[in-house]
Amino acid sequence: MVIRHQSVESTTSRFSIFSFGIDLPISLCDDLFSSGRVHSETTSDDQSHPATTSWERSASVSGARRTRNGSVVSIEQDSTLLDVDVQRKARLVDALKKEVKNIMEEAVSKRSIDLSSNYVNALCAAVEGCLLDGLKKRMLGLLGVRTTFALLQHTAKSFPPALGVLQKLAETPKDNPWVQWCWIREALHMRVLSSIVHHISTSTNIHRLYEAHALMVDRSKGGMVAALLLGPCAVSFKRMSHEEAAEELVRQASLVQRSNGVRPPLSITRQGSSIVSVSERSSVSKDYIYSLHHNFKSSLLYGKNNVCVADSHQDEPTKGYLSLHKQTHTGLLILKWTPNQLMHANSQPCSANRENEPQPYLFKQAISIDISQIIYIHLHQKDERSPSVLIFVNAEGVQSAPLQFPMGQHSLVFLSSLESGLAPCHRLEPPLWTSHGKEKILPKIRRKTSSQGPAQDYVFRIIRISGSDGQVVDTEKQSPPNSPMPTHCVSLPNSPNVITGEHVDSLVNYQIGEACQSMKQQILARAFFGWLSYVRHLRTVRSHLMYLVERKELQDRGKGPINESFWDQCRQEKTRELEDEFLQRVYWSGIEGESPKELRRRCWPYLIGLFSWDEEMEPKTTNFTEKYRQDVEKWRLWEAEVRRLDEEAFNSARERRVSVREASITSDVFEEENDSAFRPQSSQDEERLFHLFLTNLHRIEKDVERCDRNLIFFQNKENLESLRRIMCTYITRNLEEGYVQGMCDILAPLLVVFEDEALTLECFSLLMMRMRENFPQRNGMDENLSNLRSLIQVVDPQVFSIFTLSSDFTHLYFSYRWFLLDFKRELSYEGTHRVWETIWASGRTVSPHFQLFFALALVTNYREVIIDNNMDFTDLIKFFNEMAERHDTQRILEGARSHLTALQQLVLNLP
Amino acid sequence: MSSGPRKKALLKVIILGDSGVGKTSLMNQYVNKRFSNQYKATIGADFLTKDVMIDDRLVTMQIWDTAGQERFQSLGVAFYRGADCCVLAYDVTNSTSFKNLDSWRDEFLIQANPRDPDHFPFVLLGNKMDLEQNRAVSSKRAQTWCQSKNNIPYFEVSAKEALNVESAFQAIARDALARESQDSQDFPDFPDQIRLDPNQNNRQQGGGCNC
Ligand SMILES: Nc1nc2c(ncn2[C@@H]2O[C@H](COP(=O)(O)OP(=O)(O)O)[C@@H](O)[C@H]2O)c(=O)[nH]1
Ligand SMILES: [Mg+2]
Repeated sequence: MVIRHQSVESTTSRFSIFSFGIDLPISLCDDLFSSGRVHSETTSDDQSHPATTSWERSASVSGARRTRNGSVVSIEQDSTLLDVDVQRKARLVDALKKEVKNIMEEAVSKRSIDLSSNYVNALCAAVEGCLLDGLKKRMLGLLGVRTTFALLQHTAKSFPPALGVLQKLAETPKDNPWVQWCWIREALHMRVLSSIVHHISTSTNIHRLYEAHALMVDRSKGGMVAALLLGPCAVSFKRMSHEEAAEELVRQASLVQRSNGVRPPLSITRQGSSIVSVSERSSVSKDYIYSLHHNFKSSLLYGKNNVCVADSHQDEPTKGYLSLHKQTHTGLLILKWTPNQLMHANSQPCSANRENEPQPYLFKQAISIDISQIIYIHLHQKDERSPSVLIFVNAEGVQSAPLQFPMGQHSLVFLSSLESGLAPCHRLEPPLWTSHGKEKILPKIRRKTSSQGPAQDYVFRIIRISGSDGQVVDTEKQSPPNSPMPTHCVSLPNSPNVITGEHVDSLVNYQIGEACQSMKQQILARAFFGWLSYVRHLRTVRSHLMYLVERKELQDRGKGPINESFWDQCRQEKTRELEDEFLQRVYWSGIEGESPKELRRRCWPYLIGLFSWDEEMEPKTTNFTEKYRQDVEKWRLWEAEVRRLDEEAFNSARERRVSVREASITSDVFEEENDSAFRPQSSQDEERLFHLFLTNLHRIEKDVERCDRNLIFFQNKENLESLRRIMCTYITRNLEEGYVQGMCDILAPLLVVFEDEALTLECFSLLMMRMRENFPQRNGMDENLSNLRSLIQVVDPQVFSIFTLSSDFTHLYFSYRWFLLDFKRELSYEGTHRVWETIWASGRTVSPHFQLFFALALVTNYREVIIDNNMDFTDLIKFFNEMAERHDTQRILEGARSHLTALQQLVLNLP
Repeated sequence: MSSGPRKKALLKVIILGDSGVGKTSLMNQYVNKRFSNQYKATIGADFLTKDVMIDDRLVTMQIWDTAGQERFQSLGVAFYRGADCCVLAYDVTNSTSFKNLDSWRDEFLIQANPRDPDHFPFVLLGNKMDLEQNRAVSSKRAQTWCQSKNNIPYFEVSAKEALNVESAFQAIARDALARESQDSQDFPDFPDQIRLDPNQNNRQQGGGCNC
């Protein structure tokens, strides 16, 4: 009984592959892809996952012990024993599915895949895993190595393609065939892997190869392994040299650039205006076309080109693209038909060509039908070799325009896609029949037809199934009792033997060939760009953005900013819980209290991580002060030496000038200076260090002199001197790094809070560990710019399209200063303090890259201005420089936090 | 010459020189007519624009000011492109800032990659001439340097005391315009703004003179 139950599943899954294979390979790919990487991480809740594959859908139906046709199959289950096996098999198939999906995704953007790439290795490993499962001992390697090579040798006796692989392997004796799934890789390369696996799983003596519980013995799951490998067998593989691999990368890079422009928006929503302006027709049409592809919100179940609809404007019926979509969230089925002209005008990535702009009436022609409104479907077909016509009738009796399918089995394939899309809540009545367990056929009912004529007319009703008892409930209770219902259990296979008919296998092989051939072509031709950009979009999220945030979300508990009493409590109790609450409250609301400055002075060293949570400030603080004093003494000596040199140089310059003037010697205008000539001899290294200090001291003094002199705090010369002392001490400790412009800007806001040189220096040193990455000659800045670019691209494609798309990040240079100084120049001191503590708190909770989200919020906060003025590189620099210290910090912080939360949610819900 | 009223031209001018020589102060003195000791050290880049009449032509000068520390030079490529004139500035009281002029000039030519680099207009400004008693570089020395570089015009100025700043920038505008109008004779219908795209140079290559 168990076997019979599973055979139903096998039937449906195979069938769905073949129907897609013939008519719409895209949907096969989509199906494969939608069970993607992330999916496999969350295998436990497959059924609740929005992008559940058709297999899982049908699996879930049969799991509820109901066949697709709604009839009940009674099954006795020995649940515990069965579950272990079922789970193990499911895991193996899932692992395979994941790798197939990866490789197919890769195949779409590449001409060929490197045979030694990780994609291939991972796939081979997954196949090996499936084939090894339950393999009898004597089929394993002699040397105790677990390999399936013997299985190939065995298969080669009866199956020529396997022999071919064996021979090929013999030609390249370099590789030891017993290791590294060598034969699997070769079989994949030769495109026979799927058929070999199929041969094994259907072989009559399979029980001599495998234990009874093996995956390959399992009629449904075993068959699925072969079916899954159809796709990869259609991909072209290549043994690539390094240069070729690089070339492939370059080619891809140029593709990325070209497709950037039409990237559809993702579902990070912003408050305020909608992301996509619908004022422009081209963008409307792009969106429309985008909606036709498999995307985030809906999955594509069926697609067929050249379906005709009679057109009142023309004599000839218009050809178009028919597609069936299932919305991920609502489960609604939508049927769409789009005139070909409309498709072509937009399928290219750069359809800037205005002449190609579709005529407005074409838009009116496009058809969109909500299947839930449909009650009847009429099918008229003369015979197999003539076109068939489908008409949809809704609850009010209104008929859709007749959709004419080209001759062949297309309408049947469509109906079976519809049928599987309707599951599990609805179904076709009468259901499609399953002949010999593999092919769907039209039920042998004829209504509305004169039985003499060759023409065949069918009427299907869409009806609802309620509950799991298999009872049929009419959507329309008043409707007349339906047509004589066949006992459709009869059409089900009664035993597994029915499935394996010789002719079906040959048909399967034929279809495999067909499917493989058309698969890549069709993807490239039709769905390529829309789909590709969608995948890339997700890939951007996957490859760049998902690592920016922690997966754990942080809730605002509304406890408000940190105040004195809370901090006192923290210092008294020092518990982990209080630390967590502290960090969260700083992140959401900051540090305020009666005197924010005083409170920050106490909190910040802990927030920055200078002290651990359960540590007192003493005795460390005393040590800091002592060390500081010593270091100052050290560079004071150097400083005195520098002053002496400066004076000498100055005097000698003046003397020379005077003498030049007096002697009227004009030829000798090139003065020579040699600083070290005046110095007593000292060791070479000391000399070098002294010179480093000298250069740095001059730089520091120039910048201290110009540091925030508008602030009352720095109008006081004493404080300027403090700033200089701290900076000199820092440089003495980090002479090789040296002073870089901008350091003063990072130091100054700290000094304002702490008003304690030693403590300020310690905190500054800690901060610089992170900040120095953004300074010249390090990678931090490029990473930030690149991440900001990706974020804007995903969150606000419209703004993104305005930024000049140069391959470097120069168009984002308006944000250079933002990242270098953590927005210190953009905000007032109060704002800077507020943003900094949020960045630090975020670093210890939700994301070490909060600065990116603040930058993103700065951009999106002014998106209208940017868009309305179509700001270029120059305008953006001017705009943001002029906005310095005028931003609404609170508002932008809120924006930044909500961007961050949105990305977290997107990452958590990645398909 | 072309007929009809000429369109407003945009001149892109870049000021380069060591940190602290007074680039920001000079730019502000010229555009806003004031000096302040509260200007901050420049981080990244900024620019100011000013409309000026050169003879009977109204032109907009876009004056770019960048960070002076050598470490930030790699940023230049984004800002230098499409420049019409490069102003080199040094501090007359600081001989190092004078010695570094060569490297600033070379760096500019590499990064901006103008066509015909030998005739690209440069102007040299020696700033802080108000601090005569601290002078470390004589005028003669500066002039000699200018002669060796294809006769770069030289001005001694003071941003603080507003000495010579106006006339120096007038000369800068004139130089830039001479170059710009040469270009616009190649392209009589040159648009309102000079597009700051990197292809500009290529486009004009080998265009020759049509007059
Ligand atoms: N005495 C004097 N000081 C100046 C003059 N121009 C600038 N400064 C000072 O030189 C320092 C550096 O000026 P700044 O314009 O910021 O230089 P930049 O780094 O080249 O932009 C500041 O402290 C200015 O006040 C000037 O003409 N005379
Ligand atoms: Mg400056």
